[in-house]
Amino acid sequence: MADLKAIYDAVIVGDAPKVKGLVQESVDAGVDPKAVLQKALIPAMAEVGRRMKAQEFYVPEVLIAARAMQWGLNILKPLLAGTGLEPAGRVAIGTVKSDLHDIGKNLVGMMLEGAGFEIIDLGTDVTPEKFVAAVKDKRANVIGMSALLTTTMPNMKKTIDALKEAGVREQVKVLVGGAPVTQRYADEIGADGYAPDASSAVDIAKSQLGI
Amino acid sequence: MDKSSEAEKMNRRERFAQAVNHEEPDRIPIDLGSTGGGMTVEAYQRLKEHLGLEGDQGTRITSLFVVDRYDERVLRALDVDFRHLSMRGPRTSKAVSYPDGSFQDEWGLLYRKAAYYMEMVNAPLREATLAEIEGYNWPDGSDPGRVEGLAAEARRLYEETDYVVCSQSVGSVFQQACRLRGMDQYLMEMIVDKPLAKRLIDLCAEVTLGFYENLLGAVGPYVQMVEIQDDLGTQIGPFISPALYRELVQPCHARLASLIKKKTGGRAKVFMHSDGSIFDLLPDIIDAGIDVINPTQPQPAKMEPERLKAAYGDRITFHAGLDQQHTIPFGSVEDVRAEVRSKIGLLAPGGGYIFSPCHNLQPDVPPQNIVAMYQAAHEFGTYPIR
Repeated sequence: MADLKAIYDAVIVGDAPKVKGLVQESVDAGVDPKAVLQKALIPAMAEVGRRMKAQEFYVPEVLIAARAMQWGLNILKPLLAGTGLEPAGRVAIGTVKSDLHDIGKNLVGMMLEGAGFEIIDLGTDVTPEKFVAAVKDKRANVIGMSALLTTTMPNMKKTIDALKEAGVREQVKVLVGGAPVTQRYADEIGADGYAPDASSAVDIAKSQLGI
Repeated sequence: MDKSSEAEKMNRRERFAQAVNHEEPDRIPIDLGSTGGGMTVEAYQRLKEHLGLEGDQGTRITSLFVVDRYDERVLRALDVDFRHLSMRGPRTSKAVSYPDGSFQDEWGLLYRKAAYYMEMVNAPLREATLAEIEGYNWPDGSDPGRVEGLAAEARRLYEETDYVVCSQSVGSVFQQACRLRGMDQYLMEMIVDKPLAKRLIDLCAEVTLGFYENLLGAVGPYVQMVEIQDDLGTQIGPFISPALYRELVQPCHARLASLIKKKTGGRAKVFMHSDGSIFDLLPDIIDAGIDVINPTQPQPAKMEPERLKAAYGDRITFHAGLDQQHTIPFGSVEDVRAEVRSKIGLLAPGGGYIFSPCHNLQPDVPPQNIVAMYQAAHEFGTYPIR
């Protein structure tokens, strides 16, 4: 299991080439790809989340760790595809209509991916219709909406309304976040959860899905 | 707001000087129109209507839909102590406007309209090598068009009024490096490719220093405060660690602050605008030579006014500090008054506080709330604070 520990450590320090090399070596040596994912990559990102919350890690450290995790994950993905391993959930994320500020949204996506979720990144300036389509066509069971501006925040409610109108509101958990967003606002617009940071977003997504 | 007591009032520049020296003047200095502390066009137009002002006297709007120069009647109605100068465009501009309303600025950043702001949609140096970054078509800060008429305007304000004359920010360094390279990529390179990260931010600083050389060559003798900006905080903490700030960003801020001091004979205070939670960077920001910090938004983590005042209240002046993510846009007039009173009570005692909106007032802020904000600032900002 020494390899897995080395992968875990390399993810935390954000050494992407090393993670890539070690993951390749492990799978070549016959280590179960599921074990690499569940015993190295996911726990490493959980530790990154913990350090982020404790302010031991700032955005650059989290970004390089997430990138390292993704390099490893890219090797595992084709191998995991045939194993019937289901993602923890399918999360469609995006910044709401008219909002282009995406660094927070990207961090949330990376942390969720690092926790074993499948991410459907809808990008920035995402209309309510696109969120609805992600539920209908791409089987998203979680929606994550982000807004930086008080003026774009109301588009979160519009998206929830659109989900209701399309008759798919009950199929998804709706999570919201972003600088001006609060738990109170999330409650007001009928969202299922609010996360103040990317690491908490993982906890909320898991608890909403009962994981 | 009350003309009858004008004669008894303190000179506005003395008021400012005392406040930034951490003494209590007659009342807190009151600002509108600083970097990041102004108004969006929509909020401004509605305020003008609300104040019953007809026509227009001298309003100028930036290409980013923020008011750049105010109708003097608005500033008088709100009894604002400050007047802000802003640099003009160059005579020979590299900027390009497109028929769909989008435009490319002279740094090569492409903007398009999103909601209420023009937002950047490209990162022109994302793929560039170090050599290509060196050879990039950087803007020329020394273009004489940038300061056309500015010295005369500054001199008139300085000699004929007692307003505190300030100059708005003309650029950022950390933020600009993030924009040019792509934020995610630049943040990673600050750790994994230090030579490139350092050279890019140093080049941004050099170009920006060129802008300030030109600006202060024109207005240096007349300004009491010069503004710089760099958004360093997210809602939960600084983007980068204090160690990384000290290593790559602080030297650039220190060079800017030192140039400002030099070109104003040491008279002007250096103002820095940075959004978000920057509590952990404040000691290093102060060490870089910054005298006034804006906007000290109360919502982000560790930015509670009590904490700021207790930790650094004797070393830096706080500018703004209102809850603009909730109370100012969405509260009632009474909520706004209570918010202003509460923040003044926490930040103003002992001086070291300047009242201002803590972000450009958004289109969702009702004009009644803006008027109430300024009335309350005058009412509750008189020393001794009660």
